[in-house]
Amino acid sequence: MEDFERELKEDFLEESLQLLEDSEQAFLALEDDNDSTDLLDQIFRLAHNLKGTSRAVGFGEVAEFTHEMENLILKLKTGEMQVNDFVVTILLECNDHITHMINTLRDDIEATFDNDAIIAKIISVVSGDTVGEAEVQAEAQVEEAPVAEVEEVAAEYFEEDPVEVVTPAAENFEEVPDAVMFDDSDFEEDGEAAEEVIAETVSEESNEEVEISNSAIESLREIGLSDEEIFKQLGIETAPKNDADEGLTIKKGEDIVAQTVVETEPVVAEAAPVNNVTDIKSAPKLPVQKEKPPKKKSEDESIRVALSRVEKLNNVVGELVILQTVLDQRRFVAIQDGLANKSIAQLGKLSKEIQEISMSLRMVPLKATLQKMNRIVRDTSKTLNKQVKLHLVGEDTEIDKTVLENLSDPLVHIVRNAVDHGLESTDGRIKAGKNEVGNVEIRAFHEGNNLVIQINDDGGGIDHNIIRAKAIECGLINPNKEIPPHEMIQYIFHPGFSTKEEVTEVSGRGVGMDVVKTNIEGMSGTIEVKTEMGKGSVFKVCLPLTMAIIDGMVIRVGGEKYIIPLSQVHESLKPTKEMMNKITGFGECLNLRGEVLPVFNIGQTLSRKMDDGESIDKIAIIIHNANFNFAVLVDDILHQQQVVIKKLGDEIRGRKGFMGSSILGDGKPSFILDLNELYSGSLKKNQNSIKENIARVA
Amino acid sequence: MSIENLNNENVNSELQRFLEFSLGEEDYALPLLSVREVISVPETTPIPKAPSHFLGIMNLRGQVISVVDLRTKLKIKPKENNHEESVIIVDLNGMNLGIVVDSINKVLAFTTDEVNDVPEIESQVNAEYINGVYRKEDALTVLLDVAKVLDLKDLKAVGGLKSAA
Repeated sequence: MEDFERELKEDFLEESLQLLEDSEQAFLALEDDNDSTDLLDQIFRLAHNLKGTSRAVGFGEVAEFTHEMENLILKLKTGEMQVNDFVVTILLECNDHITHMINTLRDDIEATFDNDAIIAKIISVVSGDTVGEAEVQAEAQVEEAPVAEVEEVAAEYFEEDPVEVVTPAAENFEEVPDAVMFDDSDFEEDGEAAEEVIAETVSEESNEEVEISNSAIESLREIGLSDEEIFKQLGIETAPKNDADEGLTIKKGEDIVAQTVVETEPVVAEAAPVNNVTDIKSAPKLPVQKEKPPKKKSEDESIRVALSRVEKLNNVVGELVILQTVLDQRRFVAIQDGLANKSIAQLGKLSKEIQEISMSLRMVPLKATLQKMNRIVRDTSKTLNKQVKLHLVGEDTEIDKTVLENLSDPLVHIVRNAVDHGLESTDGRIKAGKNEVGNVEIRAFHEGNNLVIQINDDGGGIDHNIIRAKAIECGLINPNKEIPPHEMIQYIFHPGFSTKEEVTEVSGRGVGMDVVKTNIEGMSGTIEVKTEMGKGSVFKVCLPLTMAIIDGMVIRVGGEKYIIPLSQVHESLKPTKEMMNKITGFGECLNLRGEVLPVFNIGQTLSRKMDDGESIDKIAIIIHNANFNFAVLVDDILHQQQVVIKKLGDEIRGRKGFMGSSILGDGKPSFILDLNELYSGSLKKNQNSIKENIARVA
Repeated sequence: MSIENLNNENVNSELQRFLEFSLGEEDYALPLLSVREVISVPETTPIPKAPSHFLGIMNLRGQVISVVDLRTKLKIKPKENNHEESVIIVDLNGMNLGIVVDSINKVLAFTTDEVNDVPEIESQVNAEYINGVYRKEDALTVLLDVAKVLDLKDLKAVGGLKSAA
């Protein structure tokens, strides 16, 4: 196989996965809205597009299969058949089958498939009518556009484009004639429809994206990067096509993100026309992109490419910021010149801005992940014979890519559980006087430095008595021990715990929730459950927005520096003699505006030598924690700064209270302490005695 | 010095290369392929509550790496007035670690035939971390298995501080 051909095929495989995801969403939407002509049109375009493109690049089997599928869709479109659950199930099955084919082809481009079984299924549904097929073919030809027109439209696009940075795109555009040559055997007849579509899309797309481009370029210029640098950093000129995908992945209208995408946009727009010319029948693809551009995000493969580059950029920027900090801390000592000083200060602002931008590149919207839940809910509810409606709120909320990757599995578990365990059966719901359609809501939003994903259901809630009985049965708790209901419920996260009587296909093996909890805690996140009998349950997942950077407070302990995440620090103060109370057998307490806090000495905790002196010579940092507030004594607070978290090596990873390390302005690494974690053991152990003691003091 | 000689030799498939270094007056060697680089002793930040042979963490061009002192671990007395102290950055299955040594000596190349087993001696220290002994003329070089010297028990000991802290 020639390289050129292989490349084409690989491009197709990348693209088609996106189409498949789009079509899956469309099928699911179709289930809710049986008569939507728009949806059927869209689905038809998608299927047709897939068929045409797969044939053009030489995947005959994919094309053959899609053709059968298209027949079925056509029947639906012409009204010869009605959309119903059964049909949607078949369509989804087809979608899965194609996805499977595409994925196999990605591993082995020469792979072959056995489509007979599923084709037979489709044919039985369509019941062997050949009229439909003829129509399909007739219609297929309408989509084809003459080269000249495509070129013309594309050229127009570039004329319209006021952005100067169009050069690379323009260069790439010169490839178009080649591509045209390659496939011109495929051009047939007229293509009014396609022409219209392209014209419409291109103009709309260009307007929309040029706007982003302009503002984005401006901001990049402000930062002082030259256009060439930006291109170089992002490797645009080397891989325009791939980058086009990446561009869309990162996009999302947000200014900061757009800044980096800026130069990929023209390429995106340009790449599309090239595709159209290359594979004539892909013309209808553009409208799809226009309607749902953000969907491109879910293209995992291409984002992975982007991520390595983004990470490289992040690393370099990280170094830049460290150097800048060194410079900044030295400037009053070493530099007398006023202008130089001022420039350094400005440089500091710029580096911070660049860093923010480069960090934000790692942020991707949750949309794709949340939308996968549509399918999960559908399949689960069908298997269980329940009627469930899924509501998604806050799909555009963004989160660090690495966090997102690990989020999908736990989310699937929780959502499945909500449908299976959470919602009652249809009968049960009617008896309880509820609407027979159960509701599951996934709500994503930002809260402080966290991303919160809440999965709500309006089912029967979790009965803590059942949990209790089960926990006693499993020997997890002492039957005589009183445990408050809200604590009892947390036992659902216990390994091997499942209250569902029968093990169903969907869930009930009891290996779900503990894995969920472990996974989420692995991402430094937390999961809580709240429930109300008869009303439903809420699972609240809190995740850090990014695991790469935090605001830190640099403290001094003896001659050493440590970093505390600023988010943990509630306040800091210099204790007076009146505030400190000593309790024999327990230690010191800090009386702060009537609240009595246990005091920990960080030097003792870490076995480090602190400055000589009494507690009142130190600085107290007040930590507010979900369970308890406490004070930590340190020698001094040096300053606050943003720190890039570096992972610790395996040999020292996993130490309680050590989040990681960071390189400070002096070029030396320091540990980042998680005070909550560091003292969580002490608090639990002492909690009762602390309370007693405090009661005594107060 | 001997590196050039080695390059000129006919490399047979069994020829293995080791980096020889000194801990106190004794000679030890590591597989050359596990050595990433050799640097002078850097400034380190101490690791609270870690075993004493953990000198601290260092900044290697933006990467944070732990530095261990094998002499403390193996209870070897460091050379006095030594200006040749260095740190070898090793890569143990993806885990990077700095090892403080008294001096870097040379690169050794020998076939596996030339490696003797560890003599069976009653000893206070566990000899598991010794992969073998290479004898040339009258000098002996101990082939170290660094992962075993700082064996899993140690890794756990550090991680196990969870409960201690």
